[in-house]
Amino acid sequence: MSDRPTMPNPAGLDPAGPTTAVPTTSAPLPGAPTAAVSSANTSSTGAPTTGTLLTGGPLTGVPTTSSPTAAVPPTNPSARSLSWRVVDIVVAAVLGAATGLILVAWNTIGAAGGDVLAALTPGLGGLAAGGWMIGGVLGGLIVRKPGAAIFVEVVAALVSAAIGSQWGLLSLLSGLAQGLGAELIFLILLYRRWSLLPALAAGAGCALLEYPVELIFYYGATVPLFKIVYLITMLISGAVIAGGGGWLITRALARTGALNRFEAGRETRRRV
Amino acid sequence: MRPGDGSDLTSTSASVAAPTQSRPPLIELEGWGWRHAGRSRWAVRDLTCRIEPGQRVLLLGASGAGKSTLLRALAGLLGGADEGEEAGRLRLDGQSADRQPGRTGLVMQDPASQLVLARAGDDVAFGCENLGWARELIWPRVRSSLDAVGLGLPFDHDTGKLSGGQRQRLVLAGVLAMGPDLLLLDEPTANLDPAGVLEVRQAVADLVADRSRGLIVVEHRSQTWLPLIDRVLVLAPDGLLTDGPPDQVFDRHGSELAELGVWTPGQPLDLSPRPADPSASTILCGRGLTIGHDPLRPVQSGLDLDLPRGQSTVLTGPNGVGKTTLALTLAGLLPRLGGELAMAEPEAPPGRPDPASWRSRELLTRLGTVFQEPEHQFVASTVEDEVAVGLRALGRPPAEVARQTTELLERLHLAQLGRANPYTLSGGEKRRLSVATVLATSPAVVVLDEPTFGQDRRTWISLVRLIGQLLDQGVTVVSSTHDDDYIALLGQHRLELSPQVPPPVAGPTGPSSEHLRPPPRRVDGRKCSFAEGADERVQRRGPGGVEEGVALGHRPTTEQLRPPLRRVDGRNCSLDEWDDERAQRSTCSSRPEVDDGDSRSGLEESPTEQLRPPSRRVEGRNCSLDDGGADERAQRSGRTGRITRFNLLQRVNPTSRIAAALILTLPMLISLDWVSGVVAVGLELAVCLALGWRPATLARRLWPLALIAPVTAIGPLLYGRPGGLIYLDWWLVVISQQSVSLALAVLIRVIALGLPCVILLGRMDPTDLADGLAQVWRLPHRFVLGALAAFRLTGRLSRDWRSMELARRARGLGDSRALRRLAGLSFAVLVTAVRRGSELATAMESRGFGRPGRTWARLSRRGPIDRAFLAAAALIPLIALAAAIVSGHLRTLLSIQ
Repeated sequence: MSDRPTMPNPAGLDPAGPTTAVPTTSAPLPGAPTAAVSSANTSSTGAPTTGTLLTGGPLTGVPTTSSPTAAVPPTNPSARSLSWRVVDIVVAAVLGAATGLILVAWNTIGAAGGDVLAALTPGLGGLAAGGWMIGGVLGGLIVRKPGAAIFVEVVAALVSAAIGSQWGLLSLLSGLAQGLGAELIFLILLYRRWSLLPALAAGAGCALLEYPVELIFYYGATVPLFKIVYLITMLISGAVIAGGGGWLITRALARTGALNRFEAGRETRRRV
Repeated sequence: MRPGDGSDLTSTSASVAAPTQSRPPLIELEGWGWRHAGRSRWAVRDLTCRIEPGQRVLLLGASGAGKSTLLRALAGLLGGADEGEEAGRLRLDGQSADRQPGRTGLVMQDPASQLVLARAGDDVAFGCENLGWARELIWPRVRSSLDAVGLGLPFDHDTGKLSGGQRQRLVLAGVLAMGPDLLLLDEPTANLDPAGVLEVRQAVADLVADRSRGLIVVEHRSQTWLPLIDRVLVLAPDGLLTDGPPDQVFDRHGSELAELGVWTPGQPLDLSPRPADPSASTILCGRGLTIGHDPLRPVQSGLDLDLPRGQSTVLTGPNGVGKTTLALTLAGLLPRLGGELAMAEPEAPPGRPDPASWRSRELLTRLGTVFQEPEHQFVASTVEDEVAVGLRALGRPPAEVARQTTELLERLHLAQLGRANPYTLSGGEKRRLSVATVLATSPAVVVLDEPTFGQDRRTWISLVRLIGQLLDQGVTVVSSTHDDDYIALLGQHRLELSPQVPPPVAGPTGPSSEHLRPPPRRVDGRKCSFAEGADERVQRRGPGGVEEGVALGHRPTTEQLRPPLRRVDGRNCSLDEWDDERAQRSTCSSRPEVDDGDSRSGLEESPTEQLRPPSRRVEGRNCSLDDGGADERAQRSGRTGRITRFNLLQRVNPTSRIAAALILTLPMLISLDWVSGVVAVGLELAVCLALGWRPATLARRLWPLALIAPVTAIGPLLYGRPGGLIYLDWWLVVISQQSVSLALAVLIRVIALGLPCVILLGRMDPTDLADGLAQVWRLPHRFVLGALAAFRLTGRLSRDWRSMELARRARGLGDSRALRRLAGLSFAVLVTAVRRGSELATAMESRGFGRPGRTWARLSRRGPIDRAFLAAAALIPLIALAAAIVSGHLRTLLSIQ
């Protein structure tokens, strides 16, 4: 499994939601300005033109910029804003808190038995690791801002540490490593690709950086075979569970309308 | 976009803003409109009007008419071009609303998602800090704002321990502190009980009395606000429907408004109360019921009740009295803590009358539950599937499932939404769907928890009609409610719960929690039996039991559920209502988490939703003022120390605790030998004991670590690098002398790494930590405070989780495998989390959060004690490593061959 994927073709991988950052989609799309193209519209129509373009109402010709922050609309449609809004920060933090909570809940359901089982097998324990990495991928895919993966992972680690993980600060280090792993993948893709393949890569990235942490803490003294098996299983688990799972969850969340304030939510949402 | 995250903390007076006094703004809208990003429809369109300074406006309109959007626009919260498109013009005193931070104050529907911080004073100060006011200006302002809304709370009062009305007033105080000239209220009382509604209305009336502030309020229950209102604006999809003084608007457009879902004066409900049938037999019977979520903290005990078959019974009583808990217990979802609950045959399965013992699937045709929050019940991704879930769980053939689903959706006017995702429905539609999911399997008894909460007139009427139809079909209905109109129409029988007091706890210092026991349940020898007729049923109820209260006319009478109020003693905690009690308790108490290493920390935002009973754990101690509580409170208004056994940890800055944890653990990562580990653990334990930790407390905190450490040692034991004697060699497993010693080293090292973290980082106050991270370590304040706010939400999310768990049992999914159930629950919690997060973000933005130049009302500093603390911490790993080196045992990861 490669941790450094080539640039994917989003249209081919994610039929329901081409990434809006692709600038060419907005102009040549035919058809009326209906919901189908509205997500592309939002990033390409700057505020100054909206008054004349869309209302045709009483105030044509008096364009209004809506806020000081919006006064710097994306002049270049492809330059998506990478700065954090308040809603980005809070929802990312809440995602972290929720994943932390969920992990604790999963932990209580037989994770202890799983731990023992994992420890008894030569390195297969890595297969379960992906569940602990889902926050980073989820944060990246939903919030789409630099640092989102790290932020979500760190908050998740803090919350799970606070409400009942035995690991305390250790989980914080793991959280940092995993978040950084996902973050690097999104960074390499310049925060523009959010389809399945980048998600899988981000999940594997989490695993790749978590691996040395696990070695230092627990498995440093094991035989090479154990280490290799552990790395491979962790990468698979990270890609499939954290990456694929995170991608699926993001799409499912988008369908509930919960992500309406996010680009990730506007892309995939079906209108009924 | 937003520079200055690590903004000026020390805040020289030159850069500090101050409250300004100004006049209410003139609001001008010219052809204004807004379309949310990703939508084809405009939320508001072509709106033109002018609102004079100081005018008090009631804003009405059908749901979806854009009332909330308009309020958010006036508050400058709609966001930039990536959140939607604006048309026309909206001006406050000729300026864009976004440029006037603090000028407008927005209060929204749900108080719980608007309170940002854990302590009342902090929460009120939050907006002032965001506006960059000087510290010395903030605290007086906080006091006066709290007083202005009638909340005489101490600054460190836990915001989770307030009633709904108190919370909403606290939100109002937070808005008020910023000195707004225009109050924007978005259904501020929709989620409150009648007492809460009055509290909030009164507080607002006081604030706008001198016309120094404008007021725009959105509310379906228009009567609440009419006394204050000068003008009514009714929004339509394209511009204004009507505009004028209240009398005129309601006279001319009363019926239209009623159609839009507005409760208008003088518009009669076309519904009549149902007379009770005194001859109805009992279908569900409870004897000596003790209910609650925690055996140590029962909410009610000794309840006797009989639900008449085919009739409607309402459960009433003040907030927090246990209505929801009782409803969930009667529904067979929440295990009762004592007593007997039985359903009559033929509805019950033969010989097994107790609903709590039924499988989840067995509930479906017998007991259906409509939860207070419809979303807690949702388990499917389309409306159709949502209705079909129960039928499928019953194993009905697909054709029949499809037929029944279609039929039911049509009956509830949801047919055109069949393919929609349940979460995307409007509030009224969600409520109808949640009822539909229950009706699908035709249960004999339907339990509804606050069914009319937050509903507008239209959905309210359709709901009451629907319940009427159920009763016509012979279904038994139980509803917990505080809606007087609902009670008047459907309260054929009424069970009024009165607050109960937990059993007295001996002595002011109180025993530890382990000694608290649920109260003995009333032994009266009565058993549920359905053999007798109705007459006998009445007779059986002696004085002291449940008094018969079957109403024959319009006014339902009240059955007073026993036992009545018990008082603990003459001390100052009167426990008439636990909201009050909680309020008092925390006024006169120290915070539980500093008393005892065991209670939950600031994470827990305690509910006024009744899902969780109040914490009774440290009752006796809490109510006495002689344990230094007053001193402590005084101290806590500053940042430093609380008087506790482990006051060292409370005296150092939280960042020092983290730094110390790092100092203690990181060097230990180098070594992988048992000597350094044992020495470090030994020293750490010795220090803890020397600082006054009790061994029992230590053990309680550390047992998870002791459990997990051996597990982590298994890997190295079996697969560690072999060396020395070989004890076992089987396939890949080689247990050797070296692997055993490695396993031991890993075991002890995990403890050595984990112990300082557990001790130093456990029970840390999140607010203090956030202060330290942002001020001492200068981490970006937006992220620190965002994380803090999210942290506070976890208490709420875990309550959502518990409620969803019960809902899954009610929906017939409780029997499925744990893994599958957990996956569904996890997703549902994520949806809720994102929604609550978005709401919280709006609330924080409305209080100026996210701007540069924030100040801090409370300083977080480090001093000599912190330096000494860190130096002492550094000694431990140094000694441990030195011991390993000197004894020749030092082994590192790299040195293992």
